Amino acid sequence: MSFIKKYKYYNFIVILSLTLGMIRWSMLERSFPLFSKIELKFDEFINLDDFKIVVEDNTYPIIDARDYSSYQDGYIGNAINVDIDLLYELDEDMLNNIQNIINDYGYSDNVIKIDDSQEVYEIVDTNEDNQKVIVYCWSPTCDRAEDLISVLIDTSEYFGQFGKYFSKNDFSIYKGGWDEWDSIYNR
Amino acid sequence: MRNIFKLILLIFAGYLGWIFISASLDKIVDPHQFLKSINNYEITPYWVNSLAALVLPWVELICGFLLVAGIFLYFKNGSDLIDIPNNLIILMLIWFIFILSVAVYRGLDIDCGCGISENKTTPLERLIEDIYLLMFSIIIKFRQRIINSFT
Repeated sequence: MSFIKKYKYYNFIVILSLTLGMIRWSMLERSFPLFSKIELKFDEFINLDDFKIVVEDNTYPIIDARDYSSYQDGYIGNAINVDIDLLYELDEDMLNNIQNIINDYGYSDNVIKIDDSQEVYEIVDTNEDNQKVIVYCWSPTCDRAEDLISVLIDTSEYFGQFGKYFSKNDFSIYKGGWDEWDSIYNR
Repeated sequence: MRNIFKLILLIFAGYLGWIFISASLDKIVDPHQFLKSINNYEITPYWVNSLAALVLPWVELICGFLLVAGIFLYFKNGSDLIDIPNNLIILMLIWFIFILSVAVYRGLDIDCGCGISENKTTPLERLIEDIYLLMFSIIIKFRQRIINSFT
Protein backbone atom coordinates (compact mmCIF):
# COMPACT_ATOMS: atom_id res chain seq x y z
CA MET A 1 0.00 0.00 0.00
CA SER A 2 2.85 2.35 0.82
CA PHE A 3 4.15 1.89 -2.72
CA ILE A 4 0.81 2.99 -4.16
CA LYS A 5 0.67 5.93 -1.78
CA LYS A 6 4.26 6.98 -2.38
CA TYR A 7 3.92 6.94 -6.14
CA LYS A 8 0.29 7.95 -6.34
CA TYR A 9 0.83 10.64 -8.97
CA TYR A 10 2.84 8.30 -11.17
CA ASN A 11 0.19 5.62 -10.78
CA PHE A 12 -2.46 8.15 -11.64
CA ILE A 13 -0.72 9.11 -14.90
CA VAL A 14 -0.18 5.48 -15.88
CA ILE A 15 -3.75 4.44 -15.05
CA LEU A 16 -5.18 7.47 -16.84
CA SER A 17 -3.07 6.70 -19.92
CA LEU A 18 -4.09 3.05 -19.80
CA THR A 19 -7.75 4.03 -19.61
CA LEU A 20 -7.48 6.55 -22.44
CA GLY A 21 -5.54 4.02 -24.53
CA MET A 22 -8.25 1.41 -24.02
CA ILE A 23 -10.95 3.93 -24.92
CA ARG A 24 -9.05 4.78 -28.10
CA TRP A 25 -8.65 1.06 -28.81
CA SER A 26 -12.40 0.50 -28.51
CA MET A 27 -13.00 3.33 -30.99
CA LEU A 28 -10.59 2.04 -33.66
CA GLU A 29 -12.24 1.16 -36.94
CA ARG A 30 -9.67 -1.39 -38.00
CA SER A 31 -8.92 -4.48 -35.95
CA PHE A 32 -6.01 -3.99 -33.54
CA PRO A 33 -5.20 -7.33 -31.90
CA LEU A 34 -3.70 -6.76 -28.46
CA PHE A 35 -2.13 -10.09 -27.66
CA SER A 36 -1.65 -11.92 -30.92
CA LYS A 37 0.30 -11.52 -34.05
CA ILE A 38 0.14 -13.80 -36.98
CA GLU A 39 3.62 -14.91 -37.83
CA LEU A 40 3.19 -16.00 -41.40
CA LYS A 41 5.72 -16.08 -44.14
CA PHE A 42 3.91 -14.97 -47.24
CA ASP A 43 5.07 -15.66 -50.72
CA GLU A 44 3.23 -15.56 -54.03
CA PHE A 45 0.60 -18.00 -52.79
CA ILE A 46 -1.04 -18.63 -49.45
CA ASN A 47 -2.48 -22.00 -48.42
CA LEU A 48 -5.84 -22.66 -46.82
CA ASP A 49 -4.57 -22.98 -43.22
CA ASP A 50 -2.66 -19.70 -43.34
CA PHE A 51 -5.52 -18.00 -45.15
CA LYS A 52 -7.92 -19.09 -42.39
CA ILE A 53 -5.64 -17.45 -39.79
CA VAL A 54 -5.55 -14.27 -41.90
CA VAL A 55 -9.34 -14.21 -42.14
CA GLU A 56 -9.75 -14.69 -38.39
CA ASP A 57 -7.08 -12.16 -37.49
CA ASN A 58 -8.66 -9.52 -39.70
CA THR A 59 -5.55 -7.36 -39.95
CA TYR A 60 -4.72 -8.03 -43.60
CA PRO A 61 -6.70 -6.65 -46.51
CA ILE A 62 -8.42 -9.33 -48.58
CA ILE A 63 -9.61 -8.70 -52.13
CA ASP A 64 -12.39 -10.73 -53.67
CA ALA A 65 -11.55 -10.72 -57.38
CA ARG A 66 -14.79 -12.41 -58.47
CA ASP A 67 -17.57 -10.60 -60.28
CA TYR A 68 -19.71 -8.10 -58.40
CA SER A 69 -22.92 -10.16 -58.28
CA SER A 70 -21.15 -13.25 -56.91
CA TYR A 71 -19.56 -11.09 -54.23
CA GLN A 72 -23.01 -9.85 -53.26
CA ASP A 73 -24.09 -13.45 -52.67
CA GLY A 74 -21.28 -14.08 -50.19
CA TYR A 75 -17.61 -13.45 -49.55
CA ILE A 76 -14.82 -14.51 -47.20
CA GLY A 77 -14.19 -12.57 -43.98
CA ASN A 78 -13.97 -8.85 -44.57
CA ALA A 79 -13.02 -9.18 -48.22
CA ILE A 80 -13.39 -6.14 -50.43
CA ASN A 81 -14.64 -6.68 -53.96
CA VAL A 82 -12.59 -5.53 -56.91
CA ASP A 83 -14.24 -6.82 -60.07
CA ILE A 84 -11.66 -6.50 -62.84
CA ASP A 85 -14.32 -6.09 -65.56
CA LEU A 86 -15.78 -3.11 -63.72
CA LEU A 87 -12.28 -1.82 -63.06
CA TYR A 88 -11.60 -1.84 -66.81
CA GLU A 89 -14.62 0.46 -67.12
CA LEU A 90 -13.13 2.60 -64.31
CA ASP A 91 -16.17 1.97 -62.14
CA GLU A 92 -16.16 4.44 -59.26
CA ASP A 93 -17.00 1.89 -56.54
CA MET A 94 -14.12 -0.35 -57.58
CA LEU A 95 -11.69 2.56 -57.69
CA ASN A 96 -12.87 3.65 -54.25
CA ASN A 97 -12.45 0.14 -52.88
CA ILE A 98 -8.82 0.09 -53.97
CA GLN A 99 -8.24 3.61 -52.69
CA ASN A 100 -9.67 2.58 -49.29
CA ILE A 101 -7.19 -0.28 -49.06
CA ILE A 102 -4.35 2.11 -49.88
CA ASN A 103 -5.52 4.60 -47.24
CA ASP A 104 -6.38 2.10 -44.51
CA TYR A 105 -3.32 -0.11 -44.77
CA GLY A 106 -0.65 2.48 -45.54
CA TYR A 107 0.72 1.73 -48.97
CA SER A 108 1.73 5.29 -49.64
CA ASP A 109 5.42 5.02 -48.84
CA ASN A 110 6.56 3.26 -51.99
CA VAL A 111 8.97 4.98 -54.31
CA ILE A 112 9.56 4.34 -57.96
CA LYS A 113 13.20 3.61 -58.68
CA ILE A 114 14.09 4.37 -62.26
CA ASP A 115 17.17 3.06 -63.97
CA ASP A 116 17.54 5.30 -67.03
CA SER A 117 20.33 3.32 -68.62
CA GLN A 118 18.29 0.14 -68.64
CA GLU A 119 14.97 1.94 -69.15
CA VAL A 120 13.44 -0.09 -66.35
CA TYR A 121 11.80 0.85 -63.10
CA GLU A 122 10.81 -0.94 -59.96
CA ILE A 123 8.53 -0.11 -57.08
CA VAL A 124 10.39 -0.12 -53.80
CA ASP A 125 8.73 -0.35 -50.43
CA THR A 126 11.29 1.79 -48.63
CA ASN A 127 10.80 0.52 -45.11
CA GLU A 128 9.39 -2.87 -46.07
CA ASP A 129 6.36 -2.46 -43.89
CA ASN A 130 3.70 -2.93 -46.51
CA GLN A 131 1.16 -5.45 -45.43
CA LYS A 132 0.33 -8.22 -47.81
CA VAL A 133 -2.91 -8.03 -49.72
CA ILE A 134 -4.53 -11.41 -50.13
CA VAL A 135 -6.44 -11.93 -53.37
CA TYR A 136 -8.74 -14.80 -54.21
CA CYS A 137 -11.24 -15.68 -56.95
CA TRP A 138 -13.16 -18.87 -57.68
CA SER A 139 -10.75 -21.79 -57.91
CA PRO A 140 -7.17 -22.66 -58.93
CA THR A 141 -8.14 -22.48 -62.59
CA CYS A 142 -9.52 -18.95 -62.27
CA ASP A 143 -7.01 -16.31 -63.35
CA ARG A 144 -8.91 -13.18 -62.33
CA ALA A 145 -6.66 -12.75 -59.26
CA GLU A 146 -3.48 -12.75 -61.38
CA ASP A 147 -5.10 -10.38 -63.89
CA LEU A 148 -6.18 -8.02 -61.15
CA ILE A 149 -2.71 -7.95 -59.59
CA SER A 150 -1.12 -7.16 -62.95
CA VAL A 151 -3.55 -4.25 -63.34
CA LEU A 152 -2.88 -2.97 -59.83
CA ILE A 153 0.90 -2.96 -60.25
CA ASP A 154 0.68 -1.49 -63.73
CA THR A 155 2.42 1.87 -64.00
CA SER A 156 1.44 2.76 -67.55
CA GLU A 157 -0.79 5.70 -68.27
CA TYR A 158 -4.10 3.90 -68.20
CA PHE A 159 -4.02 1.86 -65.01
CA GLY A 160 -0.96 3.58 -63.62
CA GLN A 161 -2.91 5.27 -60.88
CA PHE A 162 -2.25 2.39 -58.47
CA GLY A 163 1.11 1.19 -59.73
CA LYS A 164 2.96 3.64 -57.55
CA TYR A 165 1.47 2.14 -54.41
CA PHE A 166 1.74 -1.58 -55.03
CA SER A 167 4.49 -3.92 -56.07
CA LYS A 168 4.21 -7.57 -56.96
CA ASN A 169 5.58 -8.55 -53.56
CA ASP A 170 2.63 -6.89 -51.85
CA PHE A 171 0.24 -9.57 -53.07
CA SER A 172 -0.37 -13.14 -52.13
CA ILE A 173 -2.97 -15.29 -53.89
CA TYR A 174 -5.22 -17.80 -52.16
CA LYS A 175 -5.44 -20.28 -55.01
CA GLY A 176 -8.16 -22.48 -53.51
CA GLY A 177 -10.51 -19.58 -53.89
CA TRP A 178 -14.15 -19.25 -53.01
CA ASP A 179 -15.02 -22.82 -54.09
CA GLU A 180 -12.58 -24.45 -51.66
CA TRP A 181 -13.46 -22.11 -48.80
CA ASP A 182 -17.18 -22.48 -49.39
CA SER A 183 -17.01 -26.26 -49.50
CA ILE A 184 -15.12 -26.46 -46.19
CA TYR A 185 -16.40 -23.66 -44.01
CA ASN A 186 -19.83 -22.75 -45.31
CA ARG A 187 -21.36 -26.20 -45.38
CA MET B 1 22.07 34.89 -13.34
CA ARG B 2 19.20 33.16 -11.59
CA ASN B 3 16.70 34.86 -13.82
CA ILE B 4 18.58 33.82 -16.91
CA PHE B 5 18.61 30.23 -15.67
CA LYS B 6 14.88 30.43 -14.99
CA LEU B 7 14.32 31.63 -18.52
CA ILE B 8 16.41 28.72 -19.80
CA LEU B 9 14.33 26.36 -17.63
CA LEU B 10 11.16 27.79 -19.14
CA ILE B 11 12.50 27.31 -22.68
CA PHE B 12 13.66 23.74 -21.95
CA ALA B 13 10.40 22.72 -20.31
CA GLY B 14 8.33 24.39 -23.02
CA TYR B 15 10.36 22.75 -25.79
CA LEU B 16 10.27 19.31 -24.15
CA GLY B 17 6.53 19.63 -23.50
CA TRP B 18 5.90 20.73 -27.09
CA ILE B 19 7.99 17.87 -28.51
CA PHE B 20 6.17 15.26 -26.44
CA ILE B 21 2.71 16.67 -27.15
CA SER B 22 3.27 16.99 -30.90
CA ALA B 23 4.92 13.55 -31.10
CA SER B 24 2.04 11.90 -29.29
CA LEU B 25 -0.80 13.29 -31.41
CA ASP B 26 0.09 11.40 -34.61
CA LYS B 27 0.48 8.20 -32.65
CA ILE B 28 -2.88 8.61 -30.93
CA VAL B 29 -4.59 9.22 -34.26
CA ASP B 30 -2.93 6.26 -36.01
CA PRO B 31 -1.79 3.54 -33.57
CA HIS B 32 -1.53 1.04 -36.46
CA GLN B 33 1.28 3.00 -38.04
CA PHE B 34 3.01 3.44 -34.69
CA LEU B 35 2.70 -0.29 -34.03
CA LYS B 36 4.33 -1.02 -37.39
CA SER B 37 7.19 1.31 -36.51
CA ILE B 38 7.90 -0.23 -33.12
CA ASN B 39 7.58 -3.75 -34.51
CA ASN B 40 10.39 -2.85 -36.91
CA TYR B 41 12.78 -2.48 -33.96
CA GLU B 42 12.29 -6.19 -33.15
CA ILE B 43 13.32 -5.68 -29.54
CA THR B 44 10.18 -6.20 -27.50
CA PRO B 45 7.53 -8.91 -27.90
CA TYR B 46 4.45 -8.16 -29.96
CA TRP B 47 1.98 -7.88 -27.08
CA VAL B 48 4.23 -5.32 -25.39
CA ASN B 49 4.41 -3.38 -28.65
CA SER B 50 0.67 -3.31 -29.19
CA LEU B 51 0.01 -2.24 -25.60
CA ALA B 52 2.75 0.39 -25.85
CA ALA B 53 1.33 1.64 -29.17
CA LEU B 54 -1.96 2.34 -27.40
CA VAL B 55 -0.78 3.61 -24.01
CA LEU B 56 2.60 5.29 -24.56
CA PRO B 57 1.28 8.17 -26.70
CA TRP B 58 -1.15 9.08 -23.91
CA VAL B 59 1.65 9.01 -21.32
CA GLU B 60 3.64 11.33 -23.61
CA LEU B 61 0.68 13.66 -24.08
CA ILE B 62 -0.13 13.87 -20.37
CA CYS B 63 3.53 14.29 -19.40
CA GLY B 64 3.94 17.01 -22.04
CA PHE B 65 1.00 18.98 -20.67
CA LEU B 66 2.00 18.45 -17.04
CA LEU B 67 5.57 19.50 -17.75
CA VAL B 68 4.42 22.82 -19.20
CA ALA B 69 1.90 23.30 -16.38
CA GLY B 70 4.52 22.20 -13.83
CA ILE B 71 7.09 24.79 -14.83
CA PHE B 72 4.54 27.58 -14.36
CA LEU B 73 3.57 26.17 -10.94
CA TYR B 74 7.25 26.04 -10.05
CA PHE B 75 7.72 29.70 -10.91
CA LYS B 76 4.50 30.66 -9.14
CA ASN B 77 4.92 28.92 -5.78
CA GLY B 78 8.03 26.75 -6.02
CA SER B 79 5.96 23.59 -6.42
CA ASP B 80 7.94 20.45 -7.20
CA LEU B 81 5.09 18.80 -9.10
CA ILE B 82 7.09 19.20 -12.31
CA ASP B 83 9.35 16.39 -11.09
CA ILE B 84 6.62 13.83 -11.69
CA PRO B 85 6.21 14.30 -15.48
CA ASN B 86 9.91 15.08 -15.76
CA ASN B 87 10.95 11.80 -14.13
CA LEU B 88 8.63 9.88 -16.43
CA ILE B 89 10.06 11.74 -19.42
CA ILE B 90 13.61 10.87 -18.32
CA LEU B 91 12.62 7.20 -18.09
CA MET B 92 11.01 7.30 -21.53
CA LEU B 93 14.00 9.07 -23.06
CA ILE B 94 16.43 6.54 -21.56
CA TRP B 95 14.32 3.75 -23.06
CA PHE B 96 14.12 5.53 -26.45
CA ILE B 97 17.88 6.09 -26.45
CA PHE B 98 18.42 2.41 -25.64
CA ILE B 99 16.25 1.08 -28.46
CA LEU B 100 17.54 3.66 -30.94
CA SER B 101 21.12 2.76 -30.04
CA VAL B 102 20.36 -0.91 -30.63
CA ALA B 103 18.76 0.00 -33.98
CA VAL B 104 21.79 2.08 -34.98
CA TYR B 105 24.18 -0.66 -33.83
CA ARG B 106 22.30 -3.27 -35.85
CA GLY B 107 22.24 -0.93 -38.83
CA LEU B 108 18.46 -1.04 -39.22
CA ASP B 109 17.27 1.24 -42.00
CA ILE B 110 13.85 1.96 -40.56
CA ASP B 111 11.65 4.92 -39.88
CA CYS B 112 12.11 5.72 -36.21
CA GLY B 113 8.36 6.12 -35.71
CA CYS B 114 8.82 9.13 -33.53
CA GLY B 115 5.85 10.94 -34.98
CA ILE B 116 7.39 14.39 -35.19
CA SER B 117 8.40 14.72 -38.78
CA GLU B 118 6.35 13.70 -41.77
CA ASN B 119 9.55 12.70 -43.50
CA LYS B 120 11.36 9.54 -42.64
CA THR B 121 13.74 10.12 -39.74
CA THR B 122 16.52 7.65 -39.26
CA PRO B 123 17.27 6.20 -35.82
CA LEU B 124 20.65 7.98 -35.74
CA GLU B 125 19.14 11.44 -36.27
CA ARG B 126 16.56 10.75 -33.63
CA LEU B 127 19.14 9.31 -31.22
CA ILE B 128 21.12 12.55 -31.28
CA GLU B 129 17.95 14.58 -30.70
CA ASP B 130 16.90 12.34 -27.81
CA ILE B 131 20.28 12.78 -26.12
CA TYR B 132 19.77 16.56 -26.24
CA LEU B 133 16.26 16.16 -24.83
CA LEU B 134 17.60 13.95 -22.04
CA MET B 135 20.11 16.66 -21.16
CA PHE B 136 17.31 19.22 -20.98
CA SER B 137 15.21 17.06 -18.67
CA ILE B 138 18.21 16.29 -16.43
CA ILE B 139 18.85 20.05 -16.12
CA ILE B 140 15.18 20.49 -15.16
CA LYS B 141 15.51 17.70 -12.59
CA PHE B 142 18.54 19.25 -10.89
CA ARG B 143 17.31 22.82 -11.26
CA GLN B 144 17.38 23.57 -7.52
CA ARG B 145 20.97 22.49 -7.12
CA ILE B 146 22.00 24.56 -10.12
CA ILE B 147 20.14 27.61 -8.76
CA ASN B 148 21.74 27.14 -5.33
CA SER B 149 25.17 26.95 -6.93
CA PHE B 150 24.76 30.51 -8.17
CA THR B 151 24.74 31.91 -4.63
